[in-house]
Amino acid sequence: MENMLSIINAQIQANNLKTLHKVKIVVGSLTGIVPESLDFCWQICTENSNYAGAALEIEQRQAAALCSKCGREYPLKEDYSCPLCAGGIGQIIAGKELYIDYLEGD
Amino acid sequence: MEIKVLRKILSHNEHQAENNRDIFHKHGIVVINMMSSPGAGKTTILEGTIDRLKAKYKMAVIEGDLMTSRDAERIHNKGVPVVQINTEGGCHLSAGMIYKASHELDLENLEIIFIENVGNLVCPGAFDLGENFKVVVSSVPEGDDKPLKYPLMFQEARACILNKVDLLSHTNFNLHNFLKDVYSLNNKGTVLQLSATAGTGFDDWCRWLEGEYQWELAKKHGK
Repeated sequence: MENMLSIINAQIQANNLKTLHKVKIVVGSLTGIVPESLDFCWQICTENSNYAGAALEIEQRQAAALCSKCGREYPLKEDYSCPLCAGGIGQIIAGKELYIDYLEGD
Repeated sequence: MEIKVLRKILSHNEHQAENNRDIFHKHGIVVINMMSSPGAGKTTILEGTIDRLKAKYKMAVIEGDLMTSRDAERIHNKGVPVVQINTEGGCHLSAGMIYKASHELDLENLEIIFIENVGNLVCPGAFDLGENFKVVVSSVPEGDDKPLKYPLMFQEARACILNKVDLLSHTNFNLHNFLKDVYSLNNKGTVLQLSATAGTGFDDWCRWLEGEYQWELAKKHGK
């Protein structure tokens, strides 16, 4: 949260924003981040700040990999083996995202 | 007005980790980030590793714990330099903490640094510390489902140590399923079976470790 607020502060200053309406972030399913907990932290950290009332939108990205055997892309859910050939993860292509996508403000 | 940001939230940590990596690389030190849940046996494995390798390599340990210096005292008793980091509630080490801790070590006189991360199978996997590679320790009493429940940790580690294998016959731990799941997450990784208290499996682990140490040095010298 500290890192997130630091990036937001820098952007607000750089763009001379007076009001922050919304922050959109992208969170991959492999990061272990629980959106409800993040939203809770956001409320606590912003309630007595200049950002009070600004919404936090969290987009969750489903993890996906390329199979080490057949090379096909498949979603990583409870079982991490390829549904087509039972191969394993060759390369993770989604699911580790953790970034601020955009801010909305005036 | 919408302002595109596209900045990684952990970018500050990533920059510091790269800085750490440069510092360790310049000193020719290979750094290993050891991760596991609490009680899996990281400290006991390090004690056994130090006993077997300290005559051959100049080693140090950075110990991460929420509270107490108990693990650091155990390592200190083995006769290698140790730096304790107390995160005071923090569930993982960060690259900045490692940078500060490294100032307390004589980097000119070291070849290997082990970082014993805070016992936690979630957050440490997401924080690069500037290590050469990660090793995850899992243990038999924790159950065989840990790789599927905590995939990132097992996916990122170059080796997985399965500790407390002397307890296999006393539990319903399914070794076949455990190995299948680890390899489905990480088909390039190595699994090493070990019992730190019984003293078995250390030969394979130390041989693997020395091989990786030599490989990291060869990469540094471009061979």
